[in-house]
Amino acid sequence: MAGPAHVFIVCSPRARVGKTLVARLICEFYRASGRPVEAFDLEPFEAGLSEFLPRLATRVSLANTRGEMALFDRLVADDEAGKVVDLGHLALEKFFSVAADIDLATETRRRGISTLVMYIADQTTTTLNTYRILRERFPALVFVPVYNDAFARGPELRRLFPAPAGGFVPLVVPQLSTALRGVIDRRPFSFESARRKPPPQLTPPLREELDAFVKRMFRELREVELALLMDRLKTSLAEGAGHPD
Amino acid sequence: MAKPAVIIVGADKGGVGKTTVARTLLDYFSARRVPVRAFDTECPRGTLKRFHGDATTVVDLSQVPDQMKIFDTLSESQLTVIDVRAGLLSPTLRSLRDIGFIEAARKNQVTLAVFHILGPTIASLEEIAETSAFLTDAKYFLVKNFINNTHFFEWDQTTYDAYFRKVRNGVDITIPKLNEMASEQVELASVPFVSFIANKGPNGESAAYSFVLRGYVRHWLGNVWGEYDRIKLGDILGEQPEAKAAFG
Repeated sequence: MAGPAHVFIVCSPRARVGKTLVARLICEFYRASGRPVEAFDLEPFEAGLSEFLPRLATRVSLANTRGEMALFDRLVADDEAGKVVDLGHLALEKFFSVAADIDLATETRRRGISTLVMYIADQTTTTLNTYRILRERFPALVFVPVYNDAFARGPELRRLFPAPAGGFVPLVVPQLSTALRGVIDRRPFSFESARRKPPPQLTPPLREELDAFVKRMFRELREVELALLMDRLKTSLAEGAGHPD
Repeated sequence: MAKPAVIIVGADKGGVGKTTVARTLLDYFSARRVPVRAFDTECPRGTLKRFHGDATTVVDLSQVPDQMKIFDTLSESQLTVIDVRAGLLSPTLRSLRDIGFIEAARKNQVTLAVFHILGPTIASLEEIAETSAFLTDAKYFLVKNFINNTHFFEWDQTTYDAYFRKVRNGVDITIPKLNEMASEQVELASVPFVSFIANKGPNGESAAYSFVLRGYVRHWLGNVWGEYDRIKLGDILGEQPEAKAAFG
């Protein structure tokens, strides 16, 4: 049975912080549970997600209105497919500017679509300021911090990017060994396909590491979905009781 | 409304977006539940009528019977919007003076508002002096319509200011540029802006317009209506206070 539609926007104002890895994991999480998923690669100069998962992800550009339609019209489409946006740092400002102009948050909510911003956290001023501005500007969106251990970690990071309200828990991406990174960074690459039919480079220890990594990430993504479900339930109960919200 | 009110939308120059502005006005007042009728002087075809067919009558403003059709039937329960075709603004104002309508506005028996649509050229500026001569007692709005990427009078702000200073009671309104593809799609759909935003076809049926383009039109129309709110257009026309524009 297909679940409710969600839109995942994976972003950061910085390059090379693990956005595409998180977007890949979300796509594969959907695929592993037999649910439809559609992904969008918004890296203006260098393809990312669309090279890892060419059958799932489409490369789109926000340089013109046609590109905007190719993305945003799909995000609000009346279907049950999850949508994943791998938002390159150079496209971030344009994406959220268009989203504000066309009021994406209201439209997705009206159609019963939950929109999550999976925000890769780090302690730079740019990342902190962008996070604050986006949360102020889009209060209806759910912001889930992502701690990518390979990029930034520590108690200070958790203090600056606390768990959001509503039972959501930040996503923690554990650091992988260099050897495993070497394998999974080849394009195309599917975690699920590699687990089913390991490529020759995936030695038994690496296979074990990959398996543990994917299981952990899928468990965390299930928790995000559970929090979304609870959030939706609370909203419908509040609406049913004539709650002003 | 306390007295009959007429809004004239026009310019002597063509291609400056008169009908677009007239359409935003009809949408604005319809959303505020103000009864409104429109006259389209693009005789015999009528561009405004294509978008607002039910509310619009096509007339030839140079013909006395059609002038009678408009001005002999004014009512305080219904606002009248006249979309004057290119080149006819000054002659129309002259006719209004001749039939005593401008005098009636001066005596506060009727409300007359003129939306003079300006293009980004000196020719548009030159119209101001001629037009404003008729309008010492009317609400005169100089509408800068950004129908393209041209920067208005950027080349000579002093010249613009010099023309604008000659106009007593003139008020500036700025209409921002609408996304080109969104504009084209509304044209193709031949529906009011509010219907496009609500994803409705010409007969109220569900349509399949792009969410992105609808979003651009909603955002743009919100800004245009913001301008109308800023100049207190409803108050000027003596609108009932409970009315409030909102998107459906």
